[in-house]
Amino acid sequence: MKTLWQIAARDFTAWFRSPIGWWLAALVLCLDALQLHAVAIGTERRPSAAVLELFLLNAAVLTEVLVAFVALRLPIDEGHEAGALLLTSPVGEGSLVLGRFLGAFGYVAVVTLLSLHLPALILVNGKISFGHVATGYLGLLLVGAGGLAIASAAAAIARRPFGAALTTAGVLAGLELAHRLASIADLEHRPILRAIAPVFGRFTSFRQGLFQLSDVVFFVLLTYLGLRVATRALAGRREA
Amino acid sequence: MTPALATALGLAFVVLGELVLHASWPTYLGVGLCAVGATTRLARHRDALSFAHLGLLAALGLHGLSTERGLDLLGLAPGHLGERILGLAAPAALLLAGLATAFGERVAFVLRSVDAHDASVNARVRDAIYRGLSLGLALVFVVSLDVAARARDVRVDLSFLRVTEPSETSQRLVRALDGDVRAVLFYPEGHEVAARVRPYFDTLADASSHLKVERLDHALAPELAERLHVTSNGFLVLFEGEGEAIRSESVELGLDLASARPRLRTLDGRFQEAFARLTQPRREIALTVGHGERSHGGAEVDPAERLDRFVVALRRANIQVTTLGLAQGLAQEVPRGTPLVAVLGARDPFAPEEVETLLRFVHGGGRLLVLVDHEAEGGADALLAGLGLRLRPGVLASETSVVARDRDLSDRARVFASRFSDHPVVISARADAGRSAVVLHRGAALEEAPTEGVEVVFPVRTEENVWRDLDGDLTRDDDEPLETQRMLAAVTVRAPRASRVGRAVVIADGSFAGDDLLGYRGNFRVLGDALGWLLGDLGDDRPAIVGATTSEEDVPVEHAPEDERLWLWLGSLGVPLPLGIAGVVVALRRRRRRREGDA
Repeated sequence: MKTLWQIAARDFTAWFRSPIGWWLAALVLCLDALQLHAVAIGTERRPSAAVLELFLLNAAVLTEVLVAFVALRLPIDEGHEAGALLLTSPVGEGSLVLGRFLGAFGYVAVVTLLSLHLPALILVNGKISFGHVATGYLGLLLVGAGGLAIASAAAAIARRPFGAALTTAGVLAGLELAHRLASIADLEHRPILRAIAPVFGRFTSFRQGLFQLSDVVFFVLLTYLGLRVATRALAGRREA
Repeated sequence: MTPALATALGLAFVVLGELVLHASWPTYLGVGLCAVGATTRLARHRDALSFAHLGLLAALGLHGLSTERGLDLLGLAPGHLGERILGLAAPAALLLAGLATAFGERVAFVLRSVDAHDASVNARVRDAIYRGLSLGLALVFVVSLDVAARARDVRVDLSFLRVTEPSETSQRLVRALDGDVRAVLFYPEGHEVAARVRPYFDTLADASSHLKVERLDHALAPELAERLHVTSNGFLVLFEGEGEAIRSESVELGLDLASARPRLRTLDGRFQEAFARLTQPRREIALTVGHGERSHGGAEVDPAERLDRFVVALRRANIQVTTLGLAQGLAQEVPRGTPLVAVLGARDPFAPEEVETLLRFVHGGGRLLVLVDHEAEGGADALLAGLGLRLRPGVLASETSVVARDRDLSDRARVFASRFSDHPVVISARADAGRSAVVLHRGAALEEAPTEGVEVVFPVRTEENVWRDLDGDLTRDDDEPLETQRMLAAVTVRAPRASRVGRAVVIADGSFAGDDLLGYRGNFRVLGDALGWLLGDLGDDRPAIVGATTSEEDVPVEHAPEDERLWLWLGSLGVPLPLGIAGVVVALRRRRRRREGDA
């Protein structure tokens, strides 16, 4: 357990020891602010809850983009000294995967929570519920966790940074695309296709201010599955 | 053809037949190819991978049994437990066997150059199959839990969906009941929407023993539902009477919480409207037209001056709005039976014949509401003179008794008055003194012009810090003294031959009933009581004619003026900027350290 937290803390602080971590956070928050003003508030006279909903939807998409960038740092490269050391260290695959996941998730969570002042700006000329904001941000954190678990699996399988990022982006895009495909699919398959899309499907309740247990369970299960695949893939690499 | 290729092709055909073409021949072809793959593999090697192929074939068979034709073959009726078990087991078996075969085949392909009978190769293929099975089991576990979570879902709404408390107006409506009214919520037992609205109706039921509230399932009360013309659950029905004499009003609330949300937010207003239709007499108000009066809907150029809110409030009180122009006889006689005529902010003058008609109407016991602008082109003077009034020149302005909106000089013309007499026209506002004030935007002052048979009372006054701005600069000059100003008059006309007294209320602001000013509680209360006084329907035991509603309705985000926009931009970019600078600092430190290391 101690090793797990050490790995998590090392990975988390690594984001702030590098200028990329700060700039990536600044870029995402800047895009969040821009989308709030240009898209969510826009020029129309939208109700406050609709503005908040639109902001949360765009923020969730940006979280997935952030996750794809974070995936660049997740692979353990045996070509590098540090990567080889990690792979050959007497640390279990589970601890290794979970530690790295927690480190990355800490970074994504910090960036996400730093944007909390943006929905508060809606209060200047509108009216929002704090419960709605809280539910939306819980959803954003869960989207981040689910996406990072997929990124962990992609990193364990693809091994190279760009491969991991591309695989993560591809899987997330595929899952989101399933929601669009649902409209042209057979009636019986539509609910299934809609149910596997993280942002356009399962995040809907969060952005509407609804705490829906089944959607929380979905993201927890997605995270579990991603981490399990990552652990198995890493075990396979070590055995090889 | 290798077993792996045959199986892969076979699965592709099965997917094509089942999901794309919905035809049986690709499925049969696919199963056949999978059977070829499995038997070929089994003929060559009796190892774990061969059994994975056989498992896949068996899973396909299980899938076949779970289809309509398979169930017929097994003699299982729809809804039978066996059907449900097969429906769950078949996809799980397909997933497990498919992943195990795929993982095993992948390793077998990688090690194809090594002797297939080598024990270590077999062991690695077996391990891969176990990994596939393990992943498959994890997937089955995840999907099962997800399905179970959706079946036993819990949902908590943390957005602005609080069903409102009944407003004072609604409670007065209910308190005024003198006969029994039943409110039936058509919902199944334990329904989430019904659970949310029930406390609202319980509070109302506490206000009067004449209101009975109950929940009924549409399916369990078909006779009553048919009599009330309710076709399904998801409705609130208010009704009175029995048998043939039954009268009802229904309000659709919805069965799905998500779609019911907007309706629940405005439940109080919807209830008032339906309740008033059922229990209040239908009344009428005729709005004069043809003189640039303020109007409702999109016809009004300035949205703040639209009468939408006012018209909705009238509808909730079961008051029908009609128009009165030249075509309806405004130049000859107000149609018989018209209880109330309203002149709402005319911008163009009335013809002398029209003024005469309106004055004759009031002198004959009619009721008149006049909202007048000082900026109107003089046409109101004759009408006001007939009512014993005249407009004093200038716009009311103040430096202290103002309601700030734009936070500039124009706010000085947004004057409030909070000194009320005990006249019935301001009875509610007076009762709410300290919290209610009457707000005027570019309003004017009224003064009495003594006329025989006309009695004028000014029930609302400002503080002594308001001047009449004569030159339009909204800055007080020497000839603009600070005074108490009177902007509302209640007029009583006693004509010798009329059977009842005529009444008029004059307010010196044409936009007083507009959406902007009606947002102020004091204005709403005064206008409601004015209508009540004019229609002769006021009293503590009577419902307010135009009353406020409680609402959790969402507020549109107002677009800020330029200076506030700058503040918003700074507020939203204020966080990324320091983070970017921190990144630069970290980069510079790193470079310095690297240089020091090199040195």
